Formats: sequence, structure tokens, C-alpha cells
Amino acid sequence: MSERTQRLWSWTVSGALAVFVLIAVLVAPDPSEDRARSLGERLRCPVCQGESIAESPSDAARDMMDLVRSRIAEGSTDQQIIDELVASFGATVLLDPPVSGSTLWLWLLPVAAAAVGVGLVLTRVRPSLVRETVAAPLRFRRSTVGGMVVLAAAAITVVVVGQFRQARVDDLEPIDPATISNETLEAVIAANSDDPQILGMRLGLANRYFEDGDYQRAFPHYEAVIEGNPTPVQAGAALTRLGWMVFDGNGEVDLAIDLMDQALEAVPADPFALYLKGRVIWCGRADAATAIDLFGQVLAGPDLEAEVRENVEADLSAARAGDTC
Amino acid sequence: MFALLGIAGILTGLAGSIWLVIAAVRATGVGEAAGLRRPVQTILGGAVLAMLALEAALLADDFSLEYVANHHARATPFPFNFATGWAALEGSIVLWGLILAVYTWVTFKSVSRTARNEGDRLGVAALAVMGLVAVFFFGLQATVANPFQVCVEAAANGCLDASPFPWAAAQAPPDGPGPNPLLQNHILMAIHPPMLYLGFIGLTVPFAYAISALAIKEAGVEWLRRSRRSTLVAWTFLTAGIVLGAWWAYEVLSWGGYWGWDPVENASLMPWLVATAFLHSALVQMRRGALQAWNFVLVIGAFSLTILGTFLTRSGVIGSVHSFTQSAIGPVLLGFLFLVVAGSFWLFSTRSHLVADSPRLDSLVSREGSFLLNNLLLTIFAFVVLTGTLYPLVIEAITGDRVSVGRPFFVRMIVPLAFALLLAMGVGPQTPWREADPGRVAASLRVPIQVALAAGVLTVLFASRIGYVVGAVVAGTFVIASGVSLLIGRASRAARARATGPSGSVGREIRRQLTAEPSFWAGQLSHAGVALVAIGIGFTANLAQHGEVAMEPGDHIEFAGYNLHYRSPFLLTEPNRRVQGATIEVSVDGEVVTELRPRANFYGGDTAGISTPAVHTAFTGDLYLTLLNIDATGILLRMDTSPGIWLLWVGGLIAAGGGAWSLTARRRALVTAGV
Repeated sequence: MSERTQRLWSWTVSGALAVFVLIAVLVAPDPSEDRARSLGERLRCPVCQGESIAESPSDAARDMMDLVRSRIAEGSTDQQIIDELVASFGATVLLDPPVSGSTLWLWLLPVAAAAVGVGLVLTRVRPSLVRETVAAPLRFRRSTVGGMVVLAAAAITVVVVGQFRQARVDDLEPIDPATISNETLEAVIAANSDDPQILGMRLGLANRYFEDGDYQRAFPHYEAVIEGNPTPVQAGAALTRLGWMVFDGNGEVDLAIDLMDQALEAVPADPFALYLKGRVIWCGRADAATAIDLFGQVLAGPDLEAEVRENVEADLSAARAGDTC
Repeated sequence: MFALLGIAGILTGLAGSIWLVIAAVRATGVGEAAGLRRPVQTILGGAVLAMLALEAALLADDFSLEYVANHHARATPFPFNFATGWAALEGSIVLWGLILAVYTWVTFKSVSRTARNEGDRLGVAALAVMGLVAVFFFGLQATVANPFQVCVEAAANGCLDASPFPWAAAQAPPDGPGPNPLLQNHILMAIHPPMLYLGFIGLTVPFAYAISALAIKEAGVEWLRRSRRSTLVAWTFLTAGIVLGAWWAYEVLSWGGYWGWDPVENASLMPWLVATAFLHSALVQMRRGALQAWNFVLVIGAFSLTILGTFLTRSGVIGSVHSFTQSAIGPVLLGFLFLVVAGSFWLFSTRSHLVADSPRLDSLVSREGSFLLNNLLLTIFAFVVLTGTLYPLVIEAITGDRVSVGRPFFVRMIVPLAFALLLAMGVGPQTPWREADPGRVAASLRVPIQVALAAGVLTVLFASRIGYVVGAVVAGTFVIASGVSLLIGRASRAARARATGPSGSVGREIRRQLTAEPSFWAGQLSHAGVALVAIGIGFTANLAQHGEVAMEPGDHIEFAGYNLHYRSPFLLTEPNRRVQGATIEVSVDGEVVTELRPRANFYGGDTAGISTPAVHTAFTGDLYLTLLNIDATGILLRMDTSPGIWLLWVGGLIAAGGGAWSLTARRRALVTAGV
């Protein structure tokens, strides 16, 4: 066997071993995690010196562990338990300080130091080497390299911070919105009515009512969406449906067309807005020609859902045939 | 009498220190060391006298001294009565002074050897710096941390008021409360603090050489050579001290852990990290002349961090097992820290031209490149520990908010750094100086990588599939395999080269390699020790099992493969304590392996017992039992396992052993060379 083949063999064996170990680790069953203990390890025993309540044998720590266990048994989320303990013992109870507020810099400082350190290391290397290894292909100057290092550090910071944020959100049980009742959604929305992030949920709930034909319940939610600084897409969706409701419920043709025009301003050529506007003109004004034009625009637009397309095509052929709606 | 002797000792030490500063500054011009013998001897004499007076007062139960009255009891047995000499604030400063005096003496001996021929300005000026530090520490003993205060108002059990004047009318209480119960619970308490002190105070010597080099404007390689050697001395003690401290915490503080990221543990870790960085970066300057400024920063930083650590532990700003009572020493230490940092860096900035043209590296893929990476990682590591330790203090000072920073923060930050360090430890020694051919380095790492992966396969098959465990085993084995393969590779190449000659045996060549370059191989041994520690941490942190159970006498319970049988409670009365505990028979597969006696120790009049765990050590790991409660009907028992925890103690001591080997080998080499 030549030395070359031997080397090849050798690296192949290493690769195989590495793949085996990696796969074994990756497909390992999740260790049956003791939720109470891992939560307890993140909480400080108030009468001890830096020990967690999971470790400390003191009575106070064990009482707190009992509380954690009973809350878990009652179905509380980790965050709820942490919030409860913070409320009673203050923020010092958190051994794992959050990446926000007064402990934000705790997490950022080491990352910044690392960035400075990498920059310093680069200054200790022959400048030409820095260019060759780091920036030669792009022919950057050294100051640019420094800038790139800072940028990279910033990107890493964002990713790291994002990860922690993510981790915190993941602590909550994931919720499938489809399984939540309208009543629950109402309660959640009422409780968070100031939160701009609630708009999406509000719109979803309003659409549910809209599809059920429950215009009375849908109406205030759509109004709230429009008043609540929505994105153009949210505004378009709300305005279109509001327009349809004033027409379908109250027979107000002009107002309906006005609202749909606003929707089309927010999202130009929105197929759903065009279609409903066409229907209002066809049914309310008996103006089949304009409606046919609008339906045609809908069908010419891209990415139409099959169901909508069917409806539009049916209406189009009916209007062409001179039927009233 | 002891008060008088002790104060005489302190004042003698103080006078000797001032004398040394003056004499050394005057002798710096020619570098003549002979005139420094007397002041150095005076310091040493004074320090020894003060320590002896304190120990004698403790052994003789002289409760007329406030220190003895408040930290000692007649019933405290040997060696704890002896260890009380440094188990409280003032005594610990006396020990500090003594160790500093010994280091000053040793430094003087080596300086006077080199000064005999052509003068040693660097060494003489360094002694002046050590004298200045000694002035501070003897000054502390003479003022805010005087252990020889006389008790003038006795209580039944301790002393209420004291006078600094040894001639004051003394009032001795009949007995004292004894040392802090936690500190008289285990024999390691007598060994671990002196070890740590030898490490901390040892860092004064490299600091003195660095400041001396700046002061006399001799920023060559000589200060670096001496600083590295003295850092190695301090590092060896510090390593041993940290490991023994972790062991003590494990055996005594019944929480089943060994490292709590307590501010005081952090205070010992930070100088260790920076000193470790210096041991490596100094080599870059010796070999390639680079990193001159950085080496000054590291040496000054390591010393400043020991003073910071002393401030944190002795001023009571942070609540901790190690913090003694709040005292006036805090502001004084803080002032000294400020003086050291500001003074050193001011001096450094006025001398920056001396290190301005340090050459740059040719390649990052080289030995010096890997040292640079090592320095980056260790410095960030130290910075993380520093940030985490000081952050709560700073935030509370600025905003008034109280926050905690604990294990989860340190673990998240440090685990990635630790893995990167292990990789650097495995790759670095295989990389040649100047510029390496990446293909060659990869080829030389082929076998270590295979061995490491094989260890990973074995772990996956027989121990655990948790990523961190497998990762720690693979990375740790990689480090060890890399060192071993380097040794065998070099030896067998040498054996082949000699094959024509009389000797060709690889075994003999290995010995020849080890004796030819002892400090390199000693470093590899320390690497292997650190790797074992990493594997041990990987196991204990991820595979430990925990349980809690209420038992009545006669009950059995299964836990983690052990069968525990609560036989009976027991009561013991010892001279200094009452002991209440439970006898628990431990069997594995039906065979009794040991009898464990977790207990609560009651010292003096304490009603709250100090819970003391009982530990059964086996190859696979420890069984760790703690009594949470005991009464007439039964016990509440906490059970923990610590898989592979002995790797930590063994690995830590091997790491320290590497330092010791390097020092003694160099000493032998000097002796044979006739120096």
C-alpha cells in the first residue's frame, strides 16, 4: 500500500469514527430531564452564598424547591414560576440573569472584549499576512479588516443574544392557534390590547368571525386593527372585509367601494380586495361591465388560490352572461 | 507577652521593609546586592517572630489576645488550633507577611548570586519593589489588621473590646468560641490556604521584576526569563491550592459540588488564568521577540488580580464563605489596588518606547500563533470571570439594583472557551515555530485524532451519549494523545537515526527526550492534567444523579445502583463538638461495600449543626450522602452521585506536578552546569 493510500485510509477511518460519534450523540434520546432541578439550578437560594436552590441543603432552598415542584405539578410554565419567585424574592433570585435590562451588559461585555481581543491579535501579525489570510481576495485595507472584525463581532453578538431571546420564548409551551377557542383569544386580546404585537392575533380572530358571518363581533376588531398602526397588509385585509361587511350587512355601496379603494391603496392589486370590490359594483350598482373588468384583473394577477380562482371565474362567466348577482 | 513579641515582630518586619526599599534604591545604580542581606534578614526575622508569637499564643490558649479570644477555643484540637493562625482576617495577613518575607529572601539569594560577578541592577530594583509591597503588608498588620490587640473587655466566651497597645491592662475571657465551624471541619483547611497564599504572594516576584525592568529601562529578555520562572513557582502552588480548595469544598460544604463560582473561588481563578497566559506568551517573546508589551500587561494584571482578590475576600463587600467580618481593611486594600494598577500602568506608559518595535508574527499557523490563540482565550476567560464577579457590585453601586450572577452565566460563557482551549492544547505543541505547513500539522495529528475519536466511540457505547460528555472525552483524550504521540514520534525518529549506533531502543530514547527538554514535557504533563480535569467536569456536570429520601432505622432504598440501608442513628461527643449522624450501609449487587456516616457537627454552643457529608469513592465515581434532617423517628437523606470526580483531583494535581517537575528539572540542570 502506498503512503498516499495509507493516508487516505487513515483519514477515512477517522471520518467514519467521527460520523459514528456525531450520529450517536445527535440521535441520542433526550435525557429524561428533571424540570424542577434544572429550573432550581437557575434560582438562587436567598439565605446561602451563591448556591442554587437545587444544590443547597438549607431549609429555605428546600422549601423553594417544594414550591417549584408543586407549581410544575399544577401546570405552570417555567417563566410563570420564575416570575412568581422574582415577585417574592426580587431579581437577586435569578442566578441566570436575563439578557436585558440591567444585566444586558453582563452578556455583551465579554463578547465586546472578545472582539477587541481578535482585533489586537490581528495587529500582532504581519500586516501583509492579515491581508493575505483575511482579506486578500477582496483587496481590503487593514482598516477595512478592522471594520469587518467589528461587524463580525456585532453579527455574532446579535446571533448570541437572539439565541438567548429564543431560548426564553421557547420556555413557554408552544401554542397552536387553531386549537384556541374564540373566547380565549378574546380574553388574551383584551388583556394585551395595548401591545402592538397583538394586532395579528386580533386580525385572525376577526377573520374567524367574518368567515362565520358574525359581522357584529368582527366589526370592532377590524376597526381596532385599522386604528392600531397596522402593516399595509393587515390594513388592506381589514379594510377589504370592513367594506364587504358594510355592503353585505347594511347595503352601503359607496362606503364599501371607498373602503376597498383604501385597501387597494394599502396593497395595490390585492386580488381579494379587487374581487370583493367587483362583487360590490356588480351586485350593488348592477354595473356588470366594471365588475367584469375587475374580475379580469384578479385572474390576471399572480398566485391566486384555487378556491378564489374558481369563485372569480364563476362570477365572471355569470356577469358576462348578463346574470344579476 | 505574646502581644509584645508579636508587635515587635511586625514592627521589625516593617522597619526591615523600609530599610530594604531605601538600601535597594541606593544600590540600583551599580546593582550591588551585598548591602541588602541585612534588611532582608530583618524582614524575615520579624515575619517569623510575628507568626510564631501568634501560633504560640493560640497553642498556649492565651485569651488575653483579642484574636485568640475571638477565634480560638480551649477545646479546638490540633491541627485546627494551629490553622487558626491564618483562619481569620488578621492572622491571614500575618501569614501573608511571612510568605512574602520568604519570597523576598529567596529572591535575594538568587539576586546576590548573579550580582556577585557583574552587578544585577534588575534584581536589586526588583527587591526594592518587593520591599514596597512588604511595607504595605506589614503596615496593614501594624494598623488596621493588627492580630496582637489586647483584650480589654472580656465576655464569657470571647472578647468585646480590644486595645492596640500591648501594655494595656488585659482582661482574658475564660474561653473563646473557636474558629468558624466550617474551617475546623476538615484537615485540608490546614493545607489549602497556605498553598493558595504561596501562589498569590508568589506573583509578587514576577511583578517586581516587571516593574524593575520598566524603572531601570531594561526591557530586554532578562526580566522576562526571571519573571517566567518565578511565575511558574507561583503557578504551581496556585494550581495545587485551587484544586485542594475545590476538594475541601466538596468534602465539607454539603452541596455535592466543588466549585460554586463564589467570588473567592473566582478571585483565585483569575490570577491563575492570567499567569497561565503569561507562561505561554513569555515563550513567544523568548523565542521570537514578539509580544513584549503584552507580557508586561499580563504580569502586572496577574498581580493586580491577586490584590483585587484579597480585597474581595477580606473586605466583606461580597458575602461568601471566605469573607471574614467587615473591617477597615477594605478601603485600604482598595487604595493599594488603585495604586498598583494606576502606578504600574503609568510607569508602563512612560516606558512604552522600550517595547515599541516588537516584531510581528509571520504566520498564524505556527507555535506562536497557537500561543496567541491560547492567550486570547485565557484572557477572555479571565475577563468573563472578572465581569461576572464584579457585575453585581458595580450595578448595585450605579443603579441600586441587586442582581445575582451565578453558575448558569459562567457555564454558558466558559464551556465554549474551554473546548477551544482544549483544541489549542492538542494542536499547539504539534505546530512548529515561525510558519507551519498545515498539511504536515494535520498529518501529525492523525493518530491523536483517531485515538480521541476511538475514546468517543467507547464513551458512546459504554458511558453516555450526551453531547457534552462525549465532547469532553474526545477533546480531553485528544490533548493527552497529542502529547503522547509527540513524545513517541520524536523518540522513535531519534531511535531510527541512531539505529546504526550502539543504542536503538525507543524506551531509552523517550527517557533521553524527557531529560533533554524537561520544561517542554513538563508543560505537556500539565496539559494532560488539565485535560483530565475537563473530562472529570464533563462527567460530573452531566451524569450526576440526585435524590432525596426519608428513612427510618432498618429501611432500605435503591439509588443509582446502590442499595442503602439505614442501620441506626449515632451520637458522639468529641472535645470540641457534638456529632449526630446516621450509619448507612451501602451495598452493590448484594455485597456490602462500605458504611457511610453522614452527620451534623455541633460546635460550641451552636444549635444549628454543620452538615457534613459522607463520601464513598469508587473508580466510576462517588456516592455522596448528606443528612438534611435527623430526629427520633428517622432521617431525611440527600443522595448524589459524582461520576468520575476523582479525575478532577488527580488531573489538578498532575497539572501542578508538571509545574513542579519543570522547576526541579531546571534546578538540577543548573546544578549540573555548575551555576
